[in-house]
Amino acid sequence: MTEEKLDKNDPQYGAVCELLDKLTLKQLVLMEEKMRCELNIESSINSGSIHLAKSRYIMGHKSVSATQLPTENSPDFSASIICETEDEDGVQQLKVSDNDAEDKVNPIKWFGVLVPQNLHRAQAIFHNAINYIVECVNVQKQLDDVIYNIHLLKRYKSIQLTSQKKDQT
Amino acid sequence: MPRRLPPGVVHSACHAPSALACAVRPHSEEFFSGFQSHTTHAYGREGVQDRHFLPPPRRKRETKKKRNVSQGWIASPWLFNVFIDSVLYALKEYKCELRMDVLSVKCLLYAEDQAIFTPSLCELPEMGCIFNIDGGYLEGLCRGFKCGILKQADYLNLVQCETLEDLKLHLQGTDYGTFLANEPSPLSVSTIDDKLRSFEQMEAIHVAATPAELYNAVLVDTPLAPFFVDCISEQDLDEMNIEIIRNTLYKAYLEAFYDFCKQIGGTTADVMCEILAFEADRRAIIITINSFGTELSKDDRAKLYPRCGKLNPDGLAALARADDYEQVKAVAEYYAEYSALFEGAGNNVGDKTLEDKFFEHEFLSRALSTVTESRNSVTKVKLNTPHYAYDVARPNVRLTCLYMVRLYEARMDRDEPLQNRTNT
Repeated sequence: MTEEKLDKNDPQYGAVCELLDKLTLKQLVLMEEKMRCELNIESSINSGSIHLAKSRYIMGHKSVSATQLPTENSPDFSASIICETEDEDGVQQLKVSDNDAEDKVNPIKWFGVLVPQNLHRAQAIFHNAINYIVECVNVQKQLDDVIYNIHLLKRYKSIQLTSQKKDQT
Repeated sequence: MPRRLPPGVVHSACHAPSALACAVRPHSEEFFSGFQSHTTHAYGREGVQDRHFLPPPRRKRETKKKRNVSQGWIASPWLFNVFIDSVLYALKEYKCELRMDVLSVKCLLYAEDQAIFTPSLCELPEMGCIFNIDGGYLEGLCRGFKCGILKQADYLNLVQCETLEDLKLHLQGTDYGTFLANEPSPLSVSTIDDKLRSFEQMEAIHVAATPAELYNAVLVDTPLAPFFVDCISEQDLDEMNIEIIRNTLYKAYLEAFYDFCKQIGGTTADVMCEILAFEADRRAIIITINSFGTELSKDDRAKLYPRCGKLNPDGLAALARADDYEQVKAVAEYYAEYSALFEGAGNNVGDKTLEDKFFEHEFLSRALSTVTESRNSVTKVKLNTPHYAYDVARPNVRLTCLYMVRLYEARMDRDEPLQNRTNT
């Protein structure tokens, strides 16, 4: 009985079901992409930390420690990288770009000028890791958007079904 | 009080003190010329709290920094006597080869004239680093702090205190009144320890705006002064210049150490000069590699290379021109032991770093072999020969052992956090 009634709404109902299928597939794809991004972040932070540990081994554990980092009383400085949001397909996405401000510092200076190559390598790896992190954030935002849309469509579908039942009775 | 020598010695000294002094003076001049009572150099300090009877400020035209007392000034003879007296007492521990039967003659004294004997110029620093002996008592005297130093009666009072509050009270009666006065009770060991580390005059260091001022305020009369001559200039103390100063200082120290060992000669020179040559080459290579990607120019970098190694002069010139790691490796190819170290070293996660390979090479091949070598040379001494051979080997053993201890400490310093982590 219900099915006959539903046949009238076939085109619309079919469209909703098809959209739901597509969104679910997209959700699965995005989930896989997010996991890949997270693995990239983990491996780059891993290797960056190992290079940091090696340079600590070379320079001595007092020369590479939290005492080199700026404290609350140090003068403020600008970040070297900033993120801008832009709209893509209705989803806010982040984009990485260099900061134009003048009071940027190169954090390697905190540890000295003639530092081992491992420290430079660690800095490059962490710099790269920022790109992975931003990519992960974008994927997460898309995923949130897709999940929200699936939820809306399911609600719409269930409302449609209950209103048809009311029509029948 | 001058030591009392046997009458015969005093008699001969009376007749020819100047002749003896002339014989020794060429050796000791560099070190002791400041104590001639007829000099006219001024003696002064800036940046340190003046007290009591400090002499007038230093005259600007003096180029060479010396420790002196000025002429015609009332306290000069007394200060001079106090200082030289303590120096002579410190000679007690020094072993000299000039002997009269069982007595070892180290110095001759007649009124204000004194002659101190050393076998050679290079023994002088060994025989008495008189800087800061007796815990800085002499420096304290010279700067006019004598009345402030705690006397025996003060110590007796302090020893009788039952509590820390009593101690604070008694200290307030002395010149150290302000030392603990403002600390809230209860006092703890760490509070006292922290206070002991700093003192008011240390704030004078903040006054110095340039390295040159800091040098004049603090370093000029310390044994470190000659090493700073090359690198003091009117520059800002930013990170680049601090690094340059630090490396220039180390280069000066290394080259001075190398010359010192070479002067001693014999086994010491053979062993230590080789170690120091390797250290110089290692520094040159590491500085070159670490300077890639920084703002250090090639000329500045070339000034930091110590010149006492095997790479001097051609290798150093080639290193000064190098632009990347591969070119440095190509330079090292010309020297067999260094090219072996570049094999298997890399920047990937699993590789040994170049610094590690240098350290291994140094520790294993150098330190152990030299200790065995020096041990062998000591056992070859026969009992009846003069102690010359033993004395030659002795500095060698001592220097090598000191060097090994330093290496070991550096290694323990690095490994300590790793060990702690594995234990917990």
